[in-house]
Order: sequence, then C-alpha cells, then structure tokens
Amino acid sequence: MTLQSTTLRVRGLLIAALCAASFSAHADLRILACEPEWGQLATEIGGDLVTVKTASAPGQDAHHIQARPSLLAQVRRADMVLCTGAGLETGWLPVLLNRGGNPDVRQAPGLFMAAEQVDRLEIPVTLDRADGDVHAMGNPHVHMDPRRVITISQQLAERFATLDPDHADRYRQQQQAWQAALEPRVDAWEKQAASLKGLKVISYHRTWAYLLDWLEMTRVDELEPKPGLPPTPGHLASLVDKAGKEQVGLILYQPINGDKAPNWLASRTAACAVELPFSPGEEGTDTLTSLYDTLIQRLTHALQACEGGKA
Amino acid sequence: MNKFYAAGAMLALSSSVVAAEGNSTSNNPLAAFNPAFSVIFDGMYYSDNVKGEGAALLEDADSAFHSHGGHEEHGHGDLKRGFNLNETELTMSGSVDSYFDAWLSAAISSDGDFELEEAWVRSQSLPAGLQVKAGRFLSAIGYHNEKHPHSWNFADQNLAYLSLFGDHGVSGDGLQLTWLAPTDSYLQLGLEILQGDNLERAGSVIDAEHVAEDISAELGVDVTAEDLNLAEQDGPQLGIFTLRYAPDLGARRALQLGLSAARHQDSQAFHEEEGGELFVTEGDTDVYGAQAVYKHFPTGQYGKGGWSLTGEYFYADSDQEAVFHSEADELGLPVTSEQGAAYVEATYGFAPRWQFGLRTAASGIGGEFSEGDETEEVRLSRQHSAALTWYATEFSKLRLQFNRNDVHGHDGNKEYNQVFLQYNLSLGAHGAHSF
Repeated sequence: MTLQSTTLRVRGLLIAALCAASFSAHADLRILACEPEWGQLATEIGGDLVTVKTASAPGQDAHHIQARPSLLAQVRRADMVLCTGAGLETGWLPVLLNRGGNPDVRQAPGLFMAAEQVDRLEIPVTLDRADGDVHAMGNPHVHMDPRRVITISQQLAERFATLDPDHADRYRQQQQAWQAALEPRVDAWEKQAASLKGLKVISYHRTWAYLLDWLEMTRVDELEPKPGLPPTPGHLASLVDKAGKEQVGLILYQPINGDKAPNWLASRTAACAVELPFSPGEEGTDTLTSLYDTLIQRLTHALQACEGGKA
Repeated sequence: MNKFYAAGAMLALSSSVVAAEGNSTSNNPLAAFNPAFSVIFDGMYYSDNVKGEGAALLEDADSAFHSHGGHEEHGHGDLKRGFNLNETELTMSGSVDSYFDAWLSAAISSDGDFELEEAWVRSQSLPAGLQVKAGRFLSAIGYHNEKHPHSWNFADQNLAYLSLFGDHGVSGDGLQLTWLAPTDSYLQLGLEILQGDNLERAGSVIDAEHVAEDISAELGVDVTAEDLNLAEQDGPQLGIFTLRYAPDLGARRALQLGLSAARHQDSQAFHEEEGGELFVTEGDTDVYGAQAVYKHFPTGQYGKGGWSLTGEYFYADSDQEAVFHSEADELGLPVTSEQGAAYVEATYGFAPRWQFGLRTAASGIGGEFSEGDETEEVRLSRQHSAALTWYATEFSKLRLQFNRNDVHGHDGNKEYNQVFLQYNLSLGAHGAHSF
C-alpha cells in the first residue's frame, strides 16, 4: 500500500464520516408534543426517525401548564410543535411560539394541531365567559376516540412526509402498520363495550365526550357546575336527584380530580364512581392502545360490579 | 378629550374581536385575525395605622437614590385609607404579519389620566434564535420587572423594587435584542438600549428647568437651566445586559437563574443640604442583579399543591460630580451613592383555587451616600407581607394582604401595618402567561 492510497482512503473515510454525521443530524425530526397522547402518536408514526419531547406529564391538567423556560429551549430547536389545539393550550402555547425564537413552528407545516384534523363535538352556539371555561372551537379532548386518532395519524404521517421528504415512504408505511394493528382492536373494544351502549353517566369534567361518543354512552351532567369550576355542595345536591331520575349508572373521574366528590355522589345514588386514566403514561397505560384497553376494562368491570353490588 | 377617543376606539375594536372569535375556524393559537383585547380591573380597600401615610412612608424610606425635584411624583404612592380604584389597564396584542407581533398596554388612572405604558413590536422571523423588540417596553432586568401588576402575587410593589426602580419598575423607549441558545437547557442572552429618561430612582435624571427655578427661588439669584452645566441628554443613556439560564427539570418543576447588569451613563441628582447648600450632580450609575426562581407545579386541580420560591438581589452604585454648587469652590465635588435591595417571596397553593404567599423585602442594604470625604450610612428598611389569594377562575381573583413595615425615613423609624383587600379581574382575551 502506497502512502498516497492511504491518504486517499483516510480522506474518503473522513468524508463518509462527515456525510453520515450531517445526514443523521437531519434524519431526526425534533418534535415537541404538548401532551403525552400526541408524543406517543408521534413516536408510533415516526419511529426512530423522530425525537420526541413532551411538554406535560401524564395526568397533568393540560389547560394549566406553565410556559417554563426549558420548553422555550425545546421550541427553539423543534422541527414540529404538535399540540391538541382547539383552545386547550391557550394559556401557555402562545408564549412558547412567540418567545421560542423559531419562525418555522409558528404555523403549518411546523405547527400541527391534532384536534384541527377531525370533527369536534360540543362547539358552543354562544360564547360567554359566564358559562365557564368553554372552548370556542369545541371540546378539544379528541384523543379519547381511536377512530379520530386514526384520522389524525394519517394527517400526521403526511405532515412528517412534508417536513422530511426523504423518508416520506417510511412515515406512510409506519402509519399504515400502526393503523392495521389498531383497527381490529377497535372492533374488539366495541364488542367488549357492547354492555355500555346507551349507559347514562355523570362525568367530573367534559373530559370524556369523545369516548362516550365512540361507545354511544350518554352524559347526563358534570360534577363541575361549569367547565373549569370545582364542584359545589349545591350543584352536587342537585345531581343526587338528577342521577336518580335519569338512572345514571357510572360517575367518571380522573385521578387529578380527586375521588371526594365522585364518592360523595356515588354514596347517595345507585351510580358507582370509576376512576379512569386520561393520557398514556398513567399507571399501566404506556401506549394509546393500552390506554383504550384500560378504559374499556375499567368501564365494563365497574358497570358489572355496580349492577352486582348495588342492585 | 383625546384620551376618551382612544379608549373608545379600543373598546370598539374589542367588540369586533368577540365577533371574530366565534367565526374562527382555524386552530392556530396565534391566528386570530383581530388582536386580543383585554381590560384589567383593579381596586382595593386599604387601611394602615399611620393615618393613610403608609404608602408615602415606603416611598420615602431612607435611600442613597432619592431623586429631589424634577419628576412629577407617580400616582401610586397616594393610596388612601378606604376605597381605591387602581389603574385600569387596557391591553391589545397580536400578530402584525408573519414578520412581527405587537403589544400595547395603557393605563387609565382613577382620575381618568391615560398613560401609554407599553407599545412595542417584536420580530418573529429572524433566524438563529434571535428576536428584536422595539418601542416602549418593560425591561427584562431581573425577574419581577417584566411582570404586569395583575400577575403579581401581592397587591403592591415589593420594597426592594420600590427603593431602586420605583413603583413601575424599569421601562423605556428603545431596542431589545435577545438570543436563545440552541441547547437543551434554556440559555437566553439579552441586550437593551434605552433612552433612560424616565427612571424614578437609580439612574434618574432631573428636570433642569424646574430645578433651576427652585435654586433661583432659594438663593435669590437668577439661575438658568444652562447654569447647571448638565450634559445634553442626547441619545440613549441606558444599556442593560441580561442572562437567564434554566436547566430542564422535567414537567413537574422548573428553576430559572438570572444575572443582570445595567449602566446609565448620564444620571443626575439635585441635593439640598441642611446647611442651605444646593448642588446638582451628574455621572454614571451601574446596577447589578441576581435572581433565582423555583416553581413546583400543582399536583392537584385549580392550583392545589403548587408552590414557588423567588429571590432577587440588586446592587446599585452611582458615581457623580457636582456640576453646579451654591459654593463655587465645591464644584467638582465627588458624590457617590450605593445600596442594595432584596426580596424573597414564596407561594403555596394549599387548596384548590387558594394561594398563600409570604414575602420579605429590604431596602438600603449596605447603603452609603458620600460627598467628598463625608460619608453617611443609609439605614435599612424592611417589609414583611402575607397574602391570601382566592382565584375564582383564571380571570378573576380576590386577595387579602397584610404588610408589617419597619421604615427608616426623614422623621426617624416607623413601624406600622398595612392591610389590602384587593380585587383584580381580567375582561376579554385569555392572556397567556410567561414563566
């Protein structure tokens, strides 16, 4: 081996290494997800092509996240900010987008609002702050319905393809594989939840609108007198009558709500209180799939136990 | 009359905002076509045990940075016992286009005076994490300075800020450049260049005409503004450098540390000595600050379980020289003022929607005022506060606050109490709050 060929080979290796370095730096889409459900979905669709950071922890109230400085640092370097939208993050997302110093994520394609991709429920006819924390663009908690999440996942794969055209096919393939795995589960959950059809419930907040829509359950009222206001004794007392008249079966709440008000109402009515997870990452629900699994299980078990126990 | 037209125009705009919100189909949180508009209502029932002089005593606490003459006193010092309507604040904000966003806030005093507090535009399309803000704005010095009164945890300005920056803090007309580093931790550097003509304490300037009149009256000779030999206040006088750092501690807590340094290159003061000596000084003023903020985010709903701890320390140092003196041979007399100020405050969300806050503040820390080789020590003043705040919603709150003050002023030491019962409501757009 001559000295010259060694030099050439070293130079070739160096160029290859540099190319690889710059390539891998661009291969990653950096995603900042506002809530764990979208962080989870981005990971499912993007696989190892994306690096995902999540702004809020599972179980935190996404209405009230603080625009903490480390999130600004994430926005600064993000290729995409992926949020629920529909007004859920009004109290903090504008600060992140305005002060993150990153023009690319202030609008599409760098800004992706999941709830924007699907039909929303509960779009108010009148807007008045006296009605509580209502969202002008409808109920934002769309991830509770896997059918809507499938639609969102398709749009998300297309958006990833726009931002990272070199891997467009892989994003689409990964989305299709994820959808193909989820769809039979959706059918199975619907069968499993047949007993819930038509069931009347009271929920703590309007958290479950899309779950109830999917499983064809009916919400009679909420423990909150108005969205965003904690339960009051007067309102709870009125629910005792209502729950009896309407034959409410279950009272739904999240861990963050606390079980005090739900249990109070359950002890005075035929209905049973059931605690439900809201985001993947809460106890035993690391993925969206296991979240739906847990939701259906908890609901069907609670209904069985309630009919057995209180009848 | 102008002020009423301005207020009317803003209110007219607000109704179109409401209409537009209803029709909006886009979910981009920045994409509202009309600016976000809100009105902050603020009022209180106030009492103290010093015949309503409580706020004035705090403003007159012993300090190396008393500005004598020149500026009109701000209306905030006149808290009276009983009902007080505080400033009503109007704000408008939104995207101008894809290159800029803008913010305007104006305050209407209880007498109906209209004051433009902030009016700035900010770039939104610069690369590399750079942003430029231009116009009138609250400086990013320290931590508390940028906060609007409606997001304070207490009903009044803390004594530390009051003693060095005045009730309104540091604001001005100029430019701000910030750079956000491309790192996992938050690191932001900022540079501000301001006219620096409206500071109330450290870095203040005097109204030469007004002071010349006072001197003429006192000495019985005709002294004009030119005789004071002050340099022209020509161009920006104030430069401020800020650094903020925050490690990534996850979604449940956050820590931010910061340093600030400021220089005002042409500060002025008017001094009246007990022996009848009158003199005017001019020179530069430096301010250094350090701050730490820790927040533990709520674990329950409506703020329950959240707590925070904030502390800031500032040190100001001014080196001036007599440019006018009633005793001609004292011209050039060096006059230096220096003092520190600090506060620490803690809040705790002890129940849903309820927050308890404690604050302690001190002014005149290590303070000294010297003329030539005579040095006078500045006496320390202290303030301890406790506040109980009930947040009905994000839009409205009620607060009961108690202050115990130990103030050294002109007439010696006074220990006294203040009580505030405050309401603070925000009508209109849902404001997003910075950290």
